Amino acid sequence: MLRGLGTAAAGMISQQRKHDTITNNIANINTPGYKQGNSVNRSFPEMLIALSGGGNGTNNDVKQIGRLNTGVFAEEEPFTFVQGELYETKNPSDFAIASFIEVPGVQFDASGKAVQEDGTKIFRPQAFFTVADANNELRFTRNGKFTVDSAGQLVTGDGLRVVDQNMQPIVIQGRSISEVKANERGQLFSAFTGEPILNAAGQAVQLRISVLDNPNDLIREGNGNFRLANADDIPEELGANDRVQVSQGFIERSNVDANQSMVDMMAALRAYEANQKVVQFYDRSLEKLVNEVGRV
Amino acid sequence: MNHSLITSKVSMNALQQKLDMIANNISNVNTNGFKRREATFQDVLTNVKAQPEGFMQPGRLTPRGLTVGWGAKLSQTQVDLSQGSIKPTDRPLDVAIEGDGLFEVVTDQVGTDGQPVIAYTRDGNFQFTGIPGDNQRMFLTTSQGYLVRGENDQPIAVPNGYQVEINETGRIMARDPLNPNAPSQKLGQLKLVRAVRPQLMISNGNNIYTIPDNVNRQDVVANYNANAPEADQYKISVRQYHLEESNVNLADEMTELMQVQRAYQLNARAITSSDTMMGLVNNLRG
Repeated sequence: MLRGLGTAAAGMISQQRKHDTITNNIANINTPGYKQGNSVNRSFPEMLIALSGGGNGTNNDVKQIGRLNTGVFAEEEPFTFVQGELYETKNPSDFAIASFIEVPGVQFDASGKAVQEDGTKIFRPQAFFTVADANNELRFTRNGKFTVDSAGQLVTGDGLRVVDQNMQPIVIQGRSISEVKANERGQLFSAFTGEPILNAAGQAVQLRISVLDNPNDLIREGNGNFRLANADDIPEELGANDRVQVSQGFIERSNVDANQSMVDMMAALRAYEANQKVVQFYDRSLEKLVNEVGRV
Repeated sequence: MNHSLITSKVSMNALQQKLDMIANNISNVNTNGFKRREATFQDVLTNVKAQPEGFMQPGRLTPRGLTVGWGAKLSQTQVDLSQGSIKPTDRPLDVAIEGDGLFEVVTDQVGTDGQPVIAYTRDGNFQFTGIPGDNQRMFLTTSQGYLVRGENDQPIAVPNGYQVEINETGRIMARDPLNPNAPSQKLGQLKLVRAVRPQLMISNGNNIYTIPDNVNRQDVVANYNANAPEADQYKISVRQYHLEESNVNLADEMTELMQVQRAYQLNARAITSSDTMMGLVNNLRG
C-alpha cells in the first residue's frame, strides 16, 4: 500500500488542530488575562526502511534504504506567558498583575525563554492570583475581573474565591469594595484611614500571589483558570524582591496577537489544502493501479 | 465536526451580547443618573485530550494531554457606579447626589411579601404628585411617580404652594411664598443609602435598582446618616438645582464598539476559513 496516503491524511488532521488552536486564540482576543496557546506538531516515530527480497534472504544482505516517518500529530499546546497590556477600568474590584520576575544571571528573550549553555531551556517565572474552588483546590489565574458576592467574599466571574496569604477567602465586611485600596504587593488598606484591613486573627490581609517557576507546568482549565497536574503542589508566594506589581482598577488584556493569528490561520488553511492535494494525487495513483494496470 | 466552527460561533454569540450592552450604554448617553454597564469575557471550559505515557518525548514543554479550547463566553456584567458629571438646572426639584449614595423610593409594584417593592435610584429629577383624598399636600416623587422616602421611611409631604429648599445633607425646608416673613418649616430629611455591594442590585429599567428577594437588604445597602461621626469620610452630598448626567463616556464606548466589531470580523474570518477546509474535505474525491 502507498505509505504517503496516511502521511498526508495525518498532515490534514494536524493542520486542522492548529487551525482550532488559532481560532480559540482569536475568540479570546478580548478575554482579560488570556494567554495565547501555540500548537506544536511532532512527526510520528521514525522507522527504518529496508529493501525486501535482496540478496539471498539472510539478514546480512538486507539493503537498508534509510529512515522514514509516516505522519505528524498535534503534540501539545504551550502557552505564551508574555505580559498582556494593562487597561484601566476604574472598577475597584478589578485587579491586574504586571509580572517581570528576574532570575539572577539569566537573560530572557521577549517570549520569556532563555537557553542555557548546556542547551537546557529556562522560562521566566510568572505571578498569578490564587483562587480556590468549592473543594478548596487551588487554581491560578491572571484574569483579575473579580466581584464581591453576597457573603462579602472576593470571587472570580465563575464564583471561585480569591484567597489571601493564609489560603483563606478574602471577606470585605462592612464596607464597600470602593473603600478598599490595594497596594502594589496586593495588601489591602482602608481607603479612608490608610490602615491595613485585618482578618479575624488580626493579621493584615493580602491577596496571595503565587509564583510559578515554570509556567509551562500549568494546565488550562477554562474560565481563565490554570491548575497544576498535581493538586497537592503549592507554588511559593511572591518574594519581597520579585518584580511584580498588582494594580487595582486595571485588568490585564489578552496577549493574543491578532496579526500573527491571522497569518497563522491562513498558513494552516493552505497547508491543509496542500495535504489535501497530496491525498488526491495518491488517489489518482491508486486509480491507475486499479483501472489500468490490471487491464487485459 | 470542525472545532473551529463551533469555537467561532460561540464567541460571535458572546460578542453580539457585548455589542447589545454597548448599544444600551450609548443610547442612554443623555439619561439622567444612568450608570453604564460593562461586560467581560472568559474562555469557555477547556477539555484535555488524554495522551498515554509514550507522548512524553524529549523537548516537550508541557504536562501530558492536549488542551482544546472552545472560544469565549460573556462571564459577567457589572454596573459601573462611578460619578456622572453634575449639570446645573433651574428647577428646585432637581436633586443630584455627589458620592456613593442612592435615593430610596417606593415603587408601585408589589413584592412577594405583599409589600410595595423598595427601589434605589440616582435619578433626582423629582416632581410633586398629589394623592387622592389629600388636597392640602403634595408628595415628592420620581419622574415615574414613585414616592421618595424620607429618613423615617415616610414619604415627603409638602404643603400646597410651598417652595422647597434642600441643603447638602438632604434636609428639606419649605417656606410659604405668600408669607415671606414666616420661618421655614422643616419637612424632613431625604433618605440616602450607600451601595455596599452594588453588583448584587438588579437594574429594573426606569433608572431604578432593586434588591433580589434572596438577598438581605443590609448586605447590599447601608443607611447613610449625614450627622453620624463617620459620615465625613464617605463624602456624600446632595445638590439642589442640579442633575447628575449619565456616566457613559461616548469616546470609551465607541472604542469598545470598534474592538468588538473587529473581533467579530476576525471570528467571521475563522468561520470562512473552516468552511473552506470542510469544502476541501468534501472535494477530496473530485
